[in-house]
Amino acid sequence: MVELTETFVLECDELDKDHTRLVEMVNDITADIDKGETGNCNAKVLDFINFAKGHFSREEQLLRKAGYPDVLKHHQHHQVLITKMEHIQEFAASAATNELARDSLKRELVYFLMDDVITTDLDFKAYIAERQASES
Amino acid sequence: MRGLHIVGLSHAYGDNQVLNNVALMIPAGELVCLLGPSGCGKSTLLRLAAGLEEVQQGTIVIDDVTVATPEMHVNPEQRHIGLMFQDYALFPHLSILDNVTFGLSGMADGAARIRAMDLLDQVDMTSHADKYPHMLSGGQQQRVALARALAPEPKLLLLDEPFSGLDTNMRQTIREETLGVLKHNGVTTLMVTHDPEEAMFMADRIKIIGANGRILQAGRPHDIYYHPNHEFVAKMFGMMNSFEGVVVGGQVKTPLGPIATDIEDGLAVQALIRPEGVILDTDAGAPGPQVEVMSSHLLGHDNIVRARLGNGEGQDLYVRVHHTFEVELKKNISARIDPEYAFVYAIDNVLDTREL
Repeated sequence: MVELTETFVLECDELDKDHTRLVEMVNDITADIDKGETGNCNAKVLDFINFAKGHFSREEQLLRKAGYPDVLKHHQHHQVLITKMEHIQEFAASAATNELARDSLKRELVYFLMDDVITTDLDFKAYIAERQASES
Repeated sequence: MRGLHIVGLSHAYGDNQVLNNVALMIPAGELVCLLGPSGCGKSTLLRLAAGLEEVQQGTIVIDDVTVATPEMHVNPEQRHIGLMFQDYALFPHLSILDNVTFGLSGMADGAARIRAMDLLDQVDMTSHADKYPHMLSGGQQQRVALARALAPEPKLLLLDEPFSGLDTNMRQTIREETLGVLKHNGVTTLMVTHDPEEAMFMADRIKIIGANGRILQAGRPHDIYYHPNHEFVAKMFGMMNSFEGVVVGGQVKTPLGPIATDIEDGLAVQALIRPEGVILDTDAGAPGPQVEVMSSHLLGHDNIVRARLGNGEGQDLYVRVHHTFEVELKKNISARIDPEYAFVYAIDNVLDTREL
């Protein structure tokens, strides 16, 4: 079970809401796999990927608006993650019939979300906090 | 969320920046390897996680408890961490059983003994319980060190090059046994190593750390080996065949044939091909240029062959051949590329990583 505990919180409402939704989606997929209900796995992973792509766009827009200096680097990071999501989709496609694919899918979703997406986003937490403080 | 969470960790010794904004997350029960060259800061990261050094910048959280920031420092003995180093660090004056019960001082003697014997059983060392460390081989000492590290049920186990003191055969056996014990106990583990094969064998996820203490890529062993994002990461796994060129029509030409790439047309690139990505053919009419074999060394499971392009006057290639290869019996050898082992990087990116 993935949890968005204190150290993963950006303190930026818009992005934290997206992260919370992504966490819910990962937990839902994981729960289905644990219950042996893999019929909707592929579709749910596709929803997750589409939401993640939307999140990347919203995040980049927010960072550009805030004048974050490393926005290009973060965009490039998102491009790498989009490639990674193709592999996750491949695991999802095999999840119904392959136990190893189910294990890899669960593991990769957690690493992808908590390490690649959210922990990397924490890079700009301080910058966003400073911007919010200066605007208020 | 249970596990290890490190955010924005930077560390310097004087002017020497050894860690640069390192972040990682290990979910409970998982094993992550930090793989990097000597001096890249990976052992420093381990020492910071263990509490053996104070954090200068960043945050370390273990099982949802913050244990280190620049403003606070939880002492090592309060972090519930197990440590295992390459030299095992067993106490020479204590028996094997006493070495393992040493960290169980909070338990009643009987319970501590039961716990220690259970761990010694898991590493197949119960029959050595009354011996002393000097009476054991390196592999046996490593097993005892693992039992001792796991006995107090640590929240996090930190392994620093744990198999580097063992010979090749023993290393393979011990690392397989170690992985089995770690997974059986469900302990969250961070291991540092400079050995790519070791990292690929052990890790659920590998993080590649570059020479400037910056994380360059994270992923499954498969991702790191077959889809390296950087020239530096590709070269972590040994020698490479390197060609420079310009992208035209979505591919770069090399003497061994074209390699497809997503990089924009017109950009200067470097193509890297693993030795196992060069295929030598002895069939008449096989595609690819003719090469002259200059040397061949049998390494046991494969041969490493040095072949020269262009009638003996061109660039040398390094080729890994997985079958019987006796150069004396080969004529008219041609070479071609297996694209799965070929990678293309924009020269700017290559320059960036060279600066690391």
